[in-house]
Amino acid sequence: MDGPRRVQGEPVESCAQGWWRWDLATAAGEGSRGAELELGAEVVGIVVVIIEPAPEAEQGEHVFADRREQGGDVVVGRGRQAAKARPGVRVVRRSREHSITQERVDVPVQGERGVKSLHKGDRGAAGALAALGSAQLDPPLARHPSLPFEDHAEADRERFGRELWMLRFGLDLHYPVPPLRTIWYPTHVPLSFLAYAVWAAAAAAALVWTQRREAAWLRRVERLGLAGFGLWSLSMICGGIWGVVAWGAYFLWDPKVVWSVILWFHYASFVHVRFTPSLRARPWVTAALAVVGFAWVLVAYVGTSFFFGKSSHAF
Amino acid sequence: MRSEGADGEADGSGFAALLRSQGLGLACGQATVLLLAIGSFVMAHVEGAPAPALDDLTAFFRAPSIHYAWLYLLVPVLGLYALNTVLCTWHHVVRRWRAGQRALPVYAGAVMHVAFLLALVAHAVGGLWSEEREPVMLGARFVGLGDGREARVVGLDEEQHPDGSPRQIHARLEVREGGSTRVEEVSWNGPLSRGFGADLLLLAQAGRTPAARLSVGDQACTAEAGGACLLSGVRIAVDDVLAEGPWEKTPVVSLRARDRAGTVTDFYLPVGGVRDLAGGTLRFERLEGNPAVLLRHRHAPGNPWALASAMVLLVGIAMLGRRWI
Repeated sequence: MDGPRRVQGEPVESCAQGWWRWDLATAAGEGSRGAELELGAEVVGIVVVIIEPAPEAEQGEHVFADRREQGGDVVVGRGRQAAKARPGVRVVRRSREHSITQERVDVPVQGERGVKSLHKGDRGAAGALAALGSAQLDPPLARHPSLPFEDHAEADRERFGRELWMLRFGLDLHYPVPPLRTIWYPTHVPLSFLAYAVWAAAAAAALVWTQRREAAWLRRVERLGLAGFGLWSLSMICGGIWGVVAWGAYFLWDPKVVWSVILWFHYASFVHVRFTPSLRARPWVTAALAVVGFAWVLVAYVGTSFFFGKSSHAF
Repeated sequence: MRSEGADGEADGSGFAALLRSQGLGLACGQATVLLLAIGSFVMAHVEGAPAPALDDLTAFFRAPSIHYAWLYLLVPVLGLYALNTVLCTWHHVVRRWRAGQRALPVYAGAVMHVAFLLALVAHAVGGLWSEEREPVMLGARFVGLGDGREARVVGLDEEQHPDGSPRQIHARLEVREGGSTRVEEVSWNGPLSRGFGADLLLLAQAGRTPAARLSVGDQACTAEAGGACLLSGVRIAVDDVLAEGPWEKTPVVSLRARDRAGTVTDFYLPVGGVRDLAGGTLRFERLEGNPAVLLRHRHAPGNPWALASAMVLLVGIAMLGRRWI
């Protein structure tokens, strides 16, 4: 694999009034470690580096560097675009982090100082769900707090070094996407996991009952089944509210959601059995409901992730 | 066939007793489990039978298919389940009341049954009558929301994670309705809601729309496409703002100027360009970005029913108290 290639010379496109555009992704070429673009002195030496993984690096590991070059600042980042822009420069970026192979990121002209980083196509609600219409909006302008500024190079070098350490040790940091930022997330998920656990215990108690045939174990099965049903109902309420505020719908024809309903209907049978003495007189019914129910739990919890295609629950 | 009520007493015989029996409820519940399980496999693995979007039910009937047989069977099963629920609940409540039983836990089951029925109604109403309406783009000027209200963006705050990925967006909207104005906020997981969720304006995208900074002498203003400025007695309407103009890729603004004499002039200006007008020299200073948001407009009449169902279910669970387990 080649090291960073120095790209000089004619831009892809030249415009009046000091605007130029380079296609760095093309310039970098397949398999290169990125392209170093050196602009002419008349453009005040802007250099941008796109980082691509080196072939000898392990999966997910990125080589990291930070250095300065005469005539401009070199700023690098893993999967991030960092550019110090002066009037008239547009920068092209390719980002793996955001699952886009080629994306042009315009760095608008807003003065002499500061660095602006634009992020499009992030794994957010707008990108993943109904982003209706062609908004034709410019990406949000944001002053990226971690990007180096002209007079903070040393601090940034220290920070990049720290991040490099994290990367080398396999640590990675991903922040939650916007749909996860709600109170309904930490209520819905733990309640559902608690219900799974209680139903697992119910199934285990049912298996014990099949061996010992003691009434106490059957009562445990019944109570655990009903307790799980209550927890699951609360979990579904929280999840439904979350769906409304995030997507506008409390129910989706999504595998995880459909199987949530299946579990709810199945364990509602425990309520029916509890209040039907003729069924309570057949203890195997309760035990069977618990064991079969746990099989459904496994399908809902694990199976929907592997056997049903894409799910809205895959973040 | 004899059916049993919750107290184990013989509950009469005959068809009516069967319809309100626990056994029928159990059978309907398990049938629902089976049909939904079949449906989930079909929707995931059978070509030509994909899952509809969100909670839509009409898709199953717009293009009927044998692959959707599980749903066509589910409708009468749930209908029977609903009938069973109504009958047994009514029978139970009347019998208990007449027997003088007034303790709350006795009627908890009935309340939870009502919640179940409300949930069925919610699914039916939402599945049949929910729709995505025209999305709404809001910027600096008031725009109709499609329901008699108007709104515009008065502020846009963006929170980011340390790596620059979006954390949250707070869009402050000035909403005008019936002569009154109020400020409301839209964010991720924070839609503008009306009618207990029956009408939702959900944040789809946020960003900035290009606006032109124009000046004549020491007077200046900023206007988006469709806006206007009054500079030195000349009304300058901004027809279009192009971040990339049709030539040379520079920002360009299309303007219509009307001076005091009523003379109208249409022209383009690139960024930094100037044009002499009756009131002075007009200059296109720079391109700016005005906050703007794109909102999804979702009409979901089932949501209020679902909310009612959830509330009633919580009441029912609370009424059970320790009798629950």
